[in-house]
Amino acid sequence: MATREAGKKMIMLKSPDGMEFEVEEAVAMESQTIRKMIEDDCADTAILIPNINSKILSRVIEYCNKHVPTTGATGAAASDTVAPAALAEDLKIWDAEFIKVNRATRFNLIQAASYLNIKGLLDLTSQTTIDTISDNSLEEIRSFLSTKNDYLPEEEQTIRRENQWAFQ
Amino acid sequence: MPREVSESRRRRRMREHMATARDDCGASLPYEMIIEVLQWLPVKSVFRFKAVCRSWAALLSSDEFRRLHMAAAKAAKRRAPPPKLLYISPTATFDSTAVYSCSFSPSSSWGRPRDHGDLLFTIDGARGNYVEVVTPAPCNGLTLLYDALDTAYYICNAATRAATRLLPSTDVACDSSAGLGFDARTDEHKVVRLINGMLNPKDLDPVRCEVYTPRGSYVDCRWRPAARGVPSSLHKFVHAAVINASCNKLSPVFANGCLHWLMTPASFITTPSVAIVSFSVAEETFTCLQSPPFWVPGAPPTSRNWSSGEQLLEMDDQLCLVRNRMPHGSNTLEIWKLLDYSSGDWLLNHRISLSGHLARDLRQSQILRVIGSFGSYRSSRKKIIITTSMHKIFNKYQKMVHTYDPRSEALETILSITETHSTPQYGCPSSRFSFIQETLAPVHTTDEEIALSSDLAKATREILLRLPAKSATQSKFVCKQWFRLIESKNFIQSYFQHKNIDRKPKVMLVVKSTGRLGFSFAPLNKCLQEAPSHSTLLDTKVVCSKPCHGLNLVSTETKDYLCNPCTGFHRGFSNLGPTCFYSRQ
Repeated sequence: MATREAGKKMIMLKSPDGMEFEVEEAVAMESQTIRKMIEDDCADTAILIPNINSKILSRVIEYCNKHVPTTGATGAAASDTVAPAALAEDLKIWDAEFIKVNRATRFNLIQAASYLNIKGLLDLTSQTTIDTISDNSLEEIRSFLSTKNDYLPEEEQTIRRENQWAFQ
Repeated sequence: MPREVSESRRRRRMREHMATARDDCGASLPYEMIIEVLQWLPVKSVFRFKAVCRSWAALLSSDEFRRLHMAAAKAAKRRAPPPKLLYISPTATFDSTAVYSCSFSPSSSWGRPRDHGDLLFTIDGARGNYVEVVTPAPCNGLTLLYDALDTAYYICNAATRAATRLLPSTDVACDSSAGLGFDARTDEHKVVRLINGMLNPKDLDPVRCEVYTPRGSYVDCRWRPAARGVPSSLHKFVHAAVINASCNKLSPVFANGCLHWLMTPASFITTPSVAIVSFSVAEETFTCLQSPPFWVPGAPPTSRNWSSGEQLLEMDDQLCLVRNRMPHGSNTLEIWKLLDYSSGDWLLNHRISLSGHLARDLRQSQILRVIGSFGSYRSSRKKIIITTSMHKIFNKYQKMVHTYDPRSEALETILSITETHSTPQYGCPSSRFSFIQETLAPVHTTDEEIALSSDLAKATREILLRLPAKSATQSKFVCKQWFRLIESKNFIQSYFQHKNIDRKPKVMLVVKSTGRLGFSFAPLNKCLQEAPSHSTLLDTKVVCSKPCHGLNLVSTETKDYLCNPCTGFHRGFSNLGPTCFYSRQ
């Protein structure tokens, strides 16, 4: 474990494309996956984060840096119980700015958040995706998530009729 | 540990759902991730997205997805948009109940509900002016309604627009009170009903408790006694709680896995040290909770008034007690929070002043209820929802919904409507308001409802509607399905409309009969064909009225009869009022 000034523990994160990121332990522990590794003492050397490229990983770290509880209290739970309203409002604005990315990046962020188990980021990315698609037409959704329509026309009609109110 | 096991099993099942999907569609997002995303969908979109592809339909309809979605909805509660107000209103013909939604913004307020709210769905056969909303706030997504005329309960989820009618209980009593609870262990809702049987001497138990678990299967759908009955030491408290609930139309409140009924000190000679009967929905056991500090145990009740102005409330997942100080000369509402179940410590949480100009409607109302709150206090958007009812004239009541902001102490009127209430018991009109939780909580349609909505059943119904009245009544005994079809709520009405569509009246003569009645009905053409004889012509004085909704009033010298000439149904009344015999063919 590397140690820097003020006795803050630093953790080295490695992306598969060879980039290394040095982050404070508290920041890295926003990820429940990494927290588990640290608690199980598997984090002596650099932690390799598979499947997440350096571009996405740097954004994830950016998110964690912002969201790490300032009080030093434990866990993600603390961030949404003790934060005063003003700070929460501030974070919301920051989040909204942070998530203004293209579709591919957002999908990558969802996967990264899921793998690293960062609840806040996962909620944010998923919710944003939902906000984009929930009012779209079915065709747009199919193309957005690359899903094909395997209904026969009459089957689709039946489904639409059964849930008619949802299409109004 | 067991929870983790079931969690992993759930995940595995979910993956199985998706395995087929993965083969079909090449997605840019792995399927596990798609589930992560879809669990945040608004309910309406969930239903719409079933039409995207087969695998999505399977996923979105699965119980596993429903659980994930409900868990996500709970987590998202804080930043979710403000909930919507739900209210019910009779349809124009009064034979059904319309369920509306309306936003909590003060702009869309005055007038008839159908003028501005969104009609969600209608419940056919539930007579609108008798229907009440039992649950002030939804219990895990579901709302309980009660049709006082039919003594039947309905469960509905306004977000998915589904409603089902529960089979009525066979235990009819003058005083009963029901509430809706949720058993988290079995993931099931339960309707719990307390009954006072004191008036009926045959009953062994003076107070009873019955439970209904709404499930799909017809066999399970019945009221059963609670696993453990009401302990005899608590009889008097349960009795007092039921009286308070039914007299003041105070429904039990569900919080922390228990349903809570409030008593009023006026039921006792001296104020008891307990105030609330609590029923654990999972264990089906009873306990009593300590009274709030302003009750003085042992002292005679401060007021003999049956309506103590107190009510229970669930707010921020905690049990609260609302104390209306207005009958005591102070224009305030107090909301007390139960801090601890075992020690029974109550804390004054809010004091709402109703002295301002805007609060005039609240001060003047006969009934004032706090039904819940939305938003969180920290986000400074918490609003407390207050409903009021003011008697206008005869059976018309002005009902209003207000919100109160505890920070700014601002009161706003959200809705004001004039409604007709025909409650069989006089006294206060019931609640028509609740709010809507965006969840996929399932409303299990009973086998009966499914059977009646099948294509075959619909065709059978059309045929039955075309039968003569006598044959239709007799066809009830062909099979169970026909019986249910004919006995179903709107059959008689549809039949009436269908038969009288040409407005060609059928003429019948009142003729002599050897039966007990002394008269009977015979079609005119039949009488004309036969020569009149002494065996058919009446020799006593009989007066027959014009038909009213298919029934004629026939008066003989000794008795009055209400008759349906087409089916032969009749009921006799002596001069002393309704009595004696009742026969039906």
